[in-house]
Amino acid sequence: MERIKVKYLNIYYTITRKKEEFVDFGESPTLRELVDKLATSYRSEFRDNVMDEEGRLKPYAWILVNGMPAKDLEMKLKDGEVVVFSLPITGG
Amino acid sequence: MEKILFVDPEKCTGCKVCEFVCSLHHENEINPMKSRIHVIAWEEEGIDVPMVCQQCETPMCEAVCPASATYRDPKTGAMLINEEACIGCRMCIIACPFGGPSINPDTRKTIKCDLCQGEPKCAEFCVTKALQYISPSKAVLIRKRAAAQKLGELVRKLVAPSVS
Amino acid sequence: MYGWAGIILKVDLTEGKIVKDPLKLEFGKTFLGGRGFNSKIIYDDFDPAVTDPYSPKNIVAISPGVLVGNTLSASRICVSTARSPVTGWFGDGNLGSYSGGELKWAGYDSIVFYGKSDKLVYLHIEDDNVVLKDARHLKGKTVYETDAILKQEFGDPEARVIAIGPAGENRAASAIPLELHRAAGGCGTGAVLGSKNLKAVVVRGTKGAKIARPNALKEAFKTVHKKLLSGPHYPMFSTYGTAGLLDLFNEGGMLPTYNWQDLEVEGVEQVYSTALKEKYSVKMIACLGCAVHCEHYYVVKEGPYATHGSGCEYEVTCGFGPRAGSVKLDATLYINTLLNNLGLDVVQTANWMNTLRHWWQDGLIDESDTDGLIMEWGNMDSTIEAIKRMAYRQGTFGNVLADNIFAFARHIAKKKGIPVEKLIRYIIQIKGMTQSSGDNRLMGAGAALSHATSTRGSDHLRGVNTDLWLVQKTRPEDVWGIPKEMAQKFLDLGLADPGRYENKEVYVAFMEDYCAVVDALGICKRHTAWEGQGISLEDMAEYFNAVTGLNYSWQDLRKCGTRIYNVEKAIQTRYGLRRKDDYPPIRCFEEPVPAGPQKGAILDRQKYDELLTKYYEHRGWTNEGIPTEKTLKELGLQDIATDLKKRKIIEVKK
Repeated sequence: MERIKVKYLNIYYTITRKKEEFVDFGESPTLRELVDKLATSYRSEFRDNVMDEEGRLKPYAWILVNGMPAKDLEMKLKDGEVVVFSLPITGG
Repeated sequence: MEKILFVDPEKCTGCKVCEFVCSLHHENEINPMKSRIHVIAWEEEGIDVPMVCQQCETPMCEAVCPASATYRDPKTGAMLINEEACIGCRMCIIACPFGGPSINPDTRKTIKCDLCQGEPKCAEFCVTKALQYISPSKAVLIRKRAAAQKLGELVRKLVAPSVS
Repeated sequence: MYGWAGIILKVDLTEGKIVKDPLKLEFGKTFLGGRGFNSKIIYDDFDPAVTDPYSPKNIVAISPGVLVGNTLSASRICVSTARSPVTGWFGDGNLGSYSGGELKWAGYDSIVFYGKSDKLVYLHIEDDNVVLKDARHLKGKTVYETDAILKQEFGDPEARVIAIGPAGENRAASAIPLELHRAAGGCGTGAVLGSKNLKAVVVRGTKGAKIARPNALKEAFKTVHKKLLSGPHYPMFSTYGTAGLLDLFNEGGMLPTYNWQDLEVEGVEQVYSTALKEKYSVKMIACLGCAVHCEHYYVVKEGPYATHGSGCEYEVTCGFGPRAGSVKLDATLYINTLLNNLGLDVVQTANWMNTLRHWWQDGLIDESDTDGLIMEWGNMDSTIEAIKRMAYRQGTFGNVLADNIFAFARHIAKKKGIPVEKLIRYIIQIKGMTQSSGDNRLMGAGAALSHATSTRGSDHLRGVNTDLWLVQKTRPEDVWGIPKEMAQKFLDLGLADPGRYENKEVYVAFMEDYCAVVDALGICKRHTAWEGQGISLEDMAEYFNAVTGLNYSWQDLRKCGTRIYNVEKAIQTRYGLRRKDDYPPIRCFEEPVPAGPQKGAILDRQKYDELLTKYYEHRGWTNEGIPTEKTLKELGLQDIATDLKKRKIIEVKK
């Protein structure tokens, strides 16, 4: 079993009302598969903030995998990894 | 029933966007003194209250006007001022319990909210919904619901713990 | 004239005289307003031979941006000084305000303070009536007390007050002026005003602002407002404010802790913005004409840090939080309210306190140097006491620290017989301004360059805060808030890679000019590309043209920004600042990041040298960072070129 830890910051916390949760998969999921699974639990705003209509990672969706921003949704996740849904750092 | 301009002060951030768009729309200027709506603030307490004509059913402005310059807009229900008839005596400002009317600094006659012919700009631009142009039935339920929310949390804990 | 009110108030505090100087339209068209006006006035009117920030010959200029009081999203006033007591060089700070609107509606584009009053005074502005009044009854009063008293004396609660607190009166170097919690931060302009015996400005303006093309402005309000609300960062900033950035920094392995030594602190989630919202934030509040309302009004109901106040940003939750080794959010909020009342800057004060802790950690100072205060990590009670002693110059410790952290370093070096460089290395700063936002090793090479070349010292607000903003963007329309052709150019140059050095000068120079425009227009940076939000340079041109009746393209506006930036660089070269001063802190090249997902990250000295050289070339400056005559002429700054030639800063070819 592959267990992924998911954390939600700012607007994602507003949408999900959770700070974190664990998601289990039979095999190593892609980031896309993780998003698809999570999107079934939350209102459409969740998916809309992450993906555009063509299913591409939105330029302002900052998904950190072990602290580094994911470049696209196809990357594979491993057991124990931490995925954080957030917005990018900009100004200050 | 006609819509009303409903004010929810708890949602007001004090931004005064309403004053900007009101004065621009009516007077082609940016000037809070020519806005029909004003936000009154107590910044140290975090309190902001938008104050605007409440378009009363029994308006004091009409009752005291010696020039019969006030009249009701049949479409929106707003109380309007006939600028030509207005003699600038300011009795309406003294009589109104809410300070609804203002004085136009150029003409020295009364100006007041006319609900922008049914598309009030202030409500259009208010991002927090401190100002909304909605039906009265919706408006009364907003305040009831907000207060019930707090009671509802208590009820959920006491009455239906097994459901949650 | 539309857009500009038409008068610059020149206040000679020595003579007690006020002159209403008519604004020339050409000046407005060239320098816009706000920071643009301040910088040029300081260049023209200040003698760089004067080195003492508290000399009566120092100048403080206060200018709202040209769009303040004219459009939405514009509330900012720039407060600038020729010699900052924090850095020793030129410095400024912007505050989001309501008083900017009042000042414009009263009929003024700028206030410039010269000289020094022999007794404490305040400036009273009520439309045409401008007069200096006795402020001796305000001596020692906090910013909030001063605000309440002056509004009552004025007889109009709609009047607005910008004031210094006791810290400014006592010339604590990091003192700043505030409109309640809205602070013109960074460069100690409050201390300079204190040295001039100027306690406050109270202003009420009822004339309003005529608009050249009102229908165009009505349309622009609609489209720009919509863009702002649909911007990608709007939901975050309007709900969590910049306090939300702390959460991002931490999850991204970039949160500076323990005076920039580390990236972790135990219990950090206690200072996340979600904790702030749950426990202490009561509502969000705004500045004039702002739909983002990014500030918190907070209440700590009980406990030793019971308090209430406004303005809780990342810089305070981090600076008096993880960077201080603390996760006590209530203590942070208590300190925020204290700083706002005493009239002290958050970033500088936080960094100075944390530097003391760092010295303490390494045994370089002890209780005998701090008048008994225990400056350990996480000790917020000693911090509170230290802040008060600094504000009131109490004891040796408070008195020396109030001169600034470098003065304290020199004091300890002399007292203990250690080389001062050893102590100064602990101060994370550039040109005397201590660091804000994130670590220069982690935010991208462009951000490092931008912080280093900022014309007021280390600053994240002057250009690029982070290169990370371009990551994941593949199409120009993905990059909010900047013209598509510029976005395309950045992507073509491969600038979406934060670790890349090559070509970053193009991006940095553009964003520096962009920020100068934003500061001159008075628009809040948080509404613009700098914060990943919707208002673009084209939108700003639309606002500007509708208000003034002019026809500026975004390129015209950008050129004003380039011009303002060159004026400031010229000011700094007159003080002797050169290439060697345009570098990030030395440890960014020598000490790799100790932990986190970017462990080992470090700046490459050679690559940075090359980037800096390219940046100067791109800017049309010499390899020492001096604007060339050609560059200045192209920007219409021949007078500055002549002056720099006279001073032999620009070499005259024989």
